Amino acid sequence: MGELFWTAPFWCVAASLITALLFVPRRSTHWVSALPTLLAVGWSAVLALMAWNQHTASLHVQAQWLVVGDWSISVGARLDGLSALMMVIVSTVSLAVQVYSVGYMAGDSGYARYFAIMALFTAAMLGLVIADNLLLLYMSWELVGLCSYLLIGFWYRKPEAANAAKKAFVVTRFGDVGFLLGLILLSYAAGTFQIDQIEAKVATGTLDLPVGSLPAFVTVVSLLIFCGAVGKSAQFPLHIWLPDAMEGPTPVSALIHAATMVAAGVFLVARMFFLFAIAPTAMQVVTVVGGFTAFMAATIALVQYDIKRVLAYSTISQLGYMMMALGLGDRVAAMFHLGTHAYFKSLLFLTAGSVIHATHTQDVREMGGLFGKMRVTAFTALVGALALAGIFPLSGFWSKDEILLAAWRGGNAFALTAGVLTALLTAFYMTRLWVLTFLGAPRSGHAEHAHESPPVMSVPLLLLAVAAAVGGLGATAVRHALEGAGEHASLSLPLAVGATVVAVLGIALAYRLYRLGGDEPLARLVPKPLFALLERKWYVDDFFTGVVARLALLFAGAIAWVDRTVVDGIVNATAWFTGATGARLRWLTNGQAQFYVLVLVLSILATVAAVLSRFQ
Amino acid sequence: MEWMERHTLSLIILVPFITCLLILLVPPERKTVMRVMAAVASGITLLLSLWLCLRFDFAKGGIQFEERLEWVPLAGVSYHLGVDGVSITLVLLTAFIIFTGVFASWTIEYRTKDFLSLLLFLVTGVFGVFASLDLFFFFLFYEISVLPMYLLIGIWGTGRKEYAAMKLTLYLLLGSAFILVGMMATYFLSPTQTFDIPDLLKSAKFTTDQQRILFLMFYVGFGILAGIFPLHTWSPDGHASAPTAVSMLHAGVLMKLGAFGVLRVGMSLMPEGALYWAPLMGTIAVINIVYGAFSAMGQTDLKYVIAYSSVSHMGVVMLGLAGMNHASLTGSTMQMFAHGIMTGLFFALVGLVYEKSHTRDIRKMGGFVEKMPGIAVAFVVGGLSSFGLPGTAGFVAEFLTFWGVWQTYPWMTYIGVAGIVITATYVLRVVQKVFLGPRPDGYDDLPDARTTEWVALVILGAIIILTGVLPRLLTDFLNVGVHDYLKLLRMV
Repeated sequence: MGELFWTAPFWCVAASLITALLFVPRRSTHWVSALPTLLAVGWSAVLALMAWNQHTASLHVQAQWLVVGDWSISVGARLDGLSALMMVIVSTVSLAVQVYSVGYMAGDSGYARYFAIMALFTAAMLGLVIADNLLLLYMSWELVGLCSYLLIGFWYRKPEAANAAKKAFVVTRFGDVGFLLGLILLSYAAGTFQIDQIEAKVATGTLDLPVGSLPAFVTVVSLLIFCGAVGKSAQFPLHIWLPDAMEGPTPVSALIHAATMVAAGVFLVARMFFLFAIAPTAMQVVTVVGGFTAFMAATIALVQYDIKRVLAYSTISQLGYMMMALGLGDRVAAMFHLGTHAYFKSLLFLTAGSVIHATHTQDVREMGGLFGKMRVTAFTALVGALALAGIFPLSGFWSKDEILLAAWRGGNAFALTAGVLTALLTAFYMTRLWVLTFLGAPRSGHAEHAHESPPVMSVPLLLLAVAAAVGGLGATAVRHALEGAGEHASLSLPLAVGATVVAVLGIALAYRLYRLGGDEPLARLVPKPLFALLERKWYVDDFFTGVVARLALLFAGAIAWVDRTVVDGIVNATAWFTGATGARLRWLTNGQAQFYVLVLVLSILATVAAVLSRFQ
Repeated sequence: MEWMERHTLSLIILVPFITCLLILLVPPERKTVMRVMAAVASGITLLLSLWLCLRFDFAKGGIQFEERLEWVPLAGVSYHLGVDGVSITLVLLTAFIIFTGVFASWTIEYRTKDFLSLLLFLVTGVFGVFASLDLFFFFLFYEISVLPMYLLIGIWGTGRKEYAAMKLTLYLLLGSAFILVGMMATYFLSPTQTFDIPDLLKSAKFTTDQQRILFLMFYVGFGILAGIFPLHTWSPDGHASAPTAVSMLHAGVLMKLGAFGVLRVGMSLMPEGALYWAPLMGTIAVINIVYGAFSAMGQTDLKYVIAYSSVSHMGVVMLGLAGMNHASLTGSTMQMFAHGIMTGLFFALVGLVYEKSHTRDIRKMGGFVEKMPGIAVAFVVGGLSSFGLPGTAGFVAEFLTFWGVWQTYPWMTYIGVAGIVITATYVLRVVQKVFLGPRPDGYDDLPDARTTEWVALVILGAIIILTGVLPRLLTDFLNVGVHDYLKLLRMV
């Protein structure tokens, strides 16, 4: 049945349409309106697992989409190790999130709308990962962006939500322009949009280059495609949209802004890896951007008080980790970390949602002491946090270790430093978050009276916790899927021990500092300018909103003014000039016959005089 | 059947004209009767246009459904109709816009009779231009479609309507002057002294210099109607002041008439001139895209935002023409259709929002989505198409244009693509300001769209998505048509 893998997006689109037509107009809040989405996503998960078993069968379907001159552009789906892996991740996380949402979104007036968009998102995301050509990939890429926009702005009455939605879309679009240009360049060089055909042409060196030499061309195209990945995967400097995106409902953050869509950038680079692999400069850029993003975002996460924003910066940081792995040339490590991260980060977001559901606040300063009241949430959150911190034997330990190993083997000091520092910071801020949320005494009335969430929410938590715990077992399977049966990187014991020591150090430090609560200890320990740097998020946000956005608006205002006054002014001046000339000459046609005769006679006399004077 | 095929184009032109005359016979107070008549007439033209599309022979290509009647043989004037793959889609576009436009202006109560008859008279001209193969009739229909605008804006408009009507009419007449001179020159320079376009294509040999001068005349003349920079300023004032159906028709169809004129008269008759001026055309088109988008971002009046967005989007059309290869011309002609539908939808929506909220100042709006969810959804659909989101017609059109133009002038693609970010910014900004966020006081009883108004929103919105998901519905026609033009340009 794996041959039907390509039908998965269609089921989800159908579910979306059914929900949109049947339930959204009635503003249904009944659980039945979630049913089409649940069934479609569930069925997609079944298809994905079937497909996973058959991913070596090289399944491929396609249909002609557009004919332009000599170009016949097809769209289609291809099943290989990479797409099968992504299908499994996307559909299973989506399923867990949809089930959880049935409880989390209960009673919301946009209940049906929520599930309609979630189904559409799942469809687009599945389309993105199985696309056999760049054009379809780009189209799905934009569609997941649209769903993200609609879901971030889900609570549209809140001005922050409306703003964040717009910001997310526009900022990622900056990156998408690069992607689009890269795609155009590449399509002409290869004469096709089909990824496997492009790969074949790159491998045989038969690209028909429109400009430049092969290395330069490949570098430019890789970097342009990377621009798209930077926007979507929230890498520096386009990462600013992701923390704001937390205005959306928490399950949305879990699915879209932690597990799947934001990982699409990493997936894109992995998909086009044959191109990056022969462009060393591009690889270096990917490494540096990834490593820097990982470190920078982790430092910002240290000082956030919004439970979701901590997780958002953590996501940015981990995506940077994956990018860095790609830059180091280790596609398997990156994709493996993408997989484990999808489960433990969506788990963490869903536990955060559970906490928010119970305490009606997102500020950790108003939480505390929830451990006794919400045992399932606290326990699963702990599993997620430890997995993220990279504690043996949870999934994050294995995948993070592979990335550090790649840096170690590559002898890349920058990557290794960034990786280890980030690991330390990650363990620190996750402990801080968990301790502030669950330990100590309740710091608000709501926290005092918090209750565990209903089973429809806690069961998905438990399932994801299992995945986050044992995900490390998937390492070999992922390697097989991506590289076939090749050589296996073995665990490097010194490195693993070192990384664990670092993580434990981070945990111990944070535990010691935050166990007692009180004022922010970092504010005391860290020099003021440095603390301000972290609090102001390295001033990147300030730069974009304060300088770039303001300049753009000023420029637009100036252009609008020029158009109204200068360009149109000339038009009006012409009209005025014509009118004024007419007014000056009006006395010539005053309607008096005598005057006309006078002019006539004078003219004749003048003509006669002129003619006569010629003859003399 | 054969009779039908030979006369369908005439029927499409005549049905609105006859209905226009019939409406004049109805007593002025029977408003519903007149509205139904207009709806039925435009419905018939829509069905006829769809029928044409079904009967179109893709294998044959070229000009089809020809009809020819000698008019003044002595002067080489004939009533010659026919459509190719490009103009057939524009006939269809016109039919869709007038059909939905009649429904969108269902609530006009002031001098309904005059309004509807003028509207139908105008649309007669538009159909005529797209179907004419004779320069004389082309120009005649062209003027018919431009002049009623003066009355339609001057009487039923809003704001500075007299100023806007006068400006628009005078500006477009200036364009007509260029066109008229160009056509006369074409006529006198042609060996057989004929106005017939196919005959001219066959027999006429214009020298390079003649072609360069004449193309420029046609480009400027038709370009004014297509809103080329810096001759575009009639558009924001005109479209902002015009009543809903007229804005829909004008921005949706008439601006395409300008671009189509450049293609049919300018580029096909004067190919060498077109090649010579293509870099200028492309440069101005790129300015249109970016300048129009920034101007739209700087506006606070909702109608001005949409009007400037048309200036920006027409830049894509003209850019595609300048690219002069298969992909770019297909993109350009697809954009004619896509932008027509999209901007028609936009103006219909802006009209509805204005009618219900009595303001067009986006700073005073907010949170309307709760009260008018249908209108909001339709606006977002139009907006997505406007910034080229995949799954909408706008994506296919813009992608093909930028993709194609890259082959000819790569730098134009680089700048033009930047336009889509700016477009996304201002469209989403408008969506946010008008529909999202908290609702200001005083808008507690905003109704959503009503029965007849839904017709426009649903049809136009559905076409945007349908042609975006299945672009071959359109591009198969365009492919055939574009191939003919490329042959004339000696590009294939």
